[in-house]
Amino acid sequence: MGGDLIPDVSASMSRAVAGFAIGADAGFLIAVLTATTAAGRAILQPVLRLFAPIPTIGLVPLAILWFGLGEESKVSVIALGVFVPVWINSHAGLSTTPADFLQAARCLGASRWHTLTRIVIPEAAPDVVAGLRVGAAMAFVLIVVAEMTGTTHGLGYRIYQSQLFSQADRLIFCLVVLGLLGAVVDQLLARLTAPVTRWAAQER
Amino acid sequence: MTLRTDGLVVRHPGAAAPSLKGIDLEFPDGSFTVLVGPSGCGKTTLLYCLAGLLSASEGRVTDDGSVVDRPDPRRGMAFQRDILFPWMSVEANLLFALRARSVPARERRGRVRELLAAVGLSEKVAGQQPNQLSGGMRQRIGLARLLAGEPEVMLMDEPFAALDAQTRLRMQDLVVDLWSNLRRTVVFVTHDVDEAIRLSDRIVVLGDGEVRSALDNPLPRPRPADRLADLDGYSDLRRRLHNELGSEAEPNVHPIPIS
Repeated sequence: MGGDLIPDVSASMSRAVAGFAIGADAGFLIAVLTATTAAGRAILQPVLRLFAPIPTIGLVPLAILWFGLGEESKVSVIALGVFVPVWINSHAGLSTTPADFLQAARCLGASRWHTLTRIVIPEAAPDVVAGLRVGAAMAFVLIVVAEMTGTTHGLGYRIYQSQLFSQADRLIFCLVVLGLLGAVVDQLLARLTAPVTRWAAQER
Repeated sequence: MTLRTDGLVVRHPGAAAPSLKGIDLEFPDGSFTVLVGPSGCGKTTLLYCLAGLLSASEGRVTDDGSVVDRPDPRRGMAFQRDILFPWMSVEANLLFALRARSVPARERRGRVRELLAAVGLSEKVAGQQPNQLSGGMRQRIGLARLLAGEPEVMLMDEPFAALDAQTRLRMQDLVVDLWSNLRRTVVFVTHDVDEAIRLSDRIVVLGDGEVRSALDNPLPRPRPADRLADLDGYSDLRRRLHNELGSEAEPNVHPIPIS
């Protein structure tokens, strides 16, 4: 399969990256709304609480019905799977800013926006990053599921092909590649986000 | 621009008795008032009301005639913990305060230098993170950040309680220096009687949510820590404070008997 590896990896990675980018952005922005606005808390949060426990894998057939077999359905399934952990972790971080930080900011005369961008979000950064790392791991799980049908490229596709032709060696190889990619991506995320989480590690 | 409270009552939800039971106090411009009293007497509650962080259940707080119902950088607050933002460098902490007050961007760097100098720190600490600094340094930066708001009134809630004795005395000197140079009103909470005597013009003793007494401090300034006890009026003031406070604020008065 030597010649297939690079196209497979790049097909899977581009879906994972697109899904991750959409899901993570949406998760973070929605978390800002649910954690810091009254309307978000009252309306959005209960809806999402009901929606979050639905296993994303179960949404694959629905995504195929709605978006067809093309790239949109694959990317949207990954995006949904990334959205949930990013939102939940970000919400937890953004809604638990220590009161004394907020009081100090108020006493200094900081506006709501200034407080949100300089106090609430940086203080929640370690939780947001934890959510992003769970989300990235989730993206790798969902690649395999999303590539079950409607594609001829990708590590998930290759895994099902190997199963179909009883090629355990190929199958295991693909799993090892997925595992390595997942580990590299996790480390990359940890390094990229280190500047915003370093303070919390030093506080302890 | 006098800060004052009229019949200030504060009830915390769920508490049986009010935390403050009708406080009438005036804090004239440029005065240095120290609030003392046993734990739970309402000192911190009163300070938070003056800051606008807590609202009155009855009565009111007024600052220069207008009712205080929210915090304002005119009334800067120093908390028990220094509450520097740990994800920001020292400089960013000060810039945060300057930006909150809409100081023009080009003036901010210069102001950071001035503020650090005002609390006796060199420019070198600007790039450091708060958790790289000692407790005393952190409190100095906390003070610099408070000064960045150019407060008319400085409200200080036991800011030096967690510091070692030497650092604490140096910080007291710094506060007195700042106060006498800037001529701001200071309201300072402590339960250290000597700290109260060293710093204040006037000592307000609180007990059980009420003002028990307000004593003028007759000691001449400067009041060096090592000769505080030699100053005229010291023993008399200290005795009166002890009588007002009872034994609870000063455990040294009744040493634990060794059996």
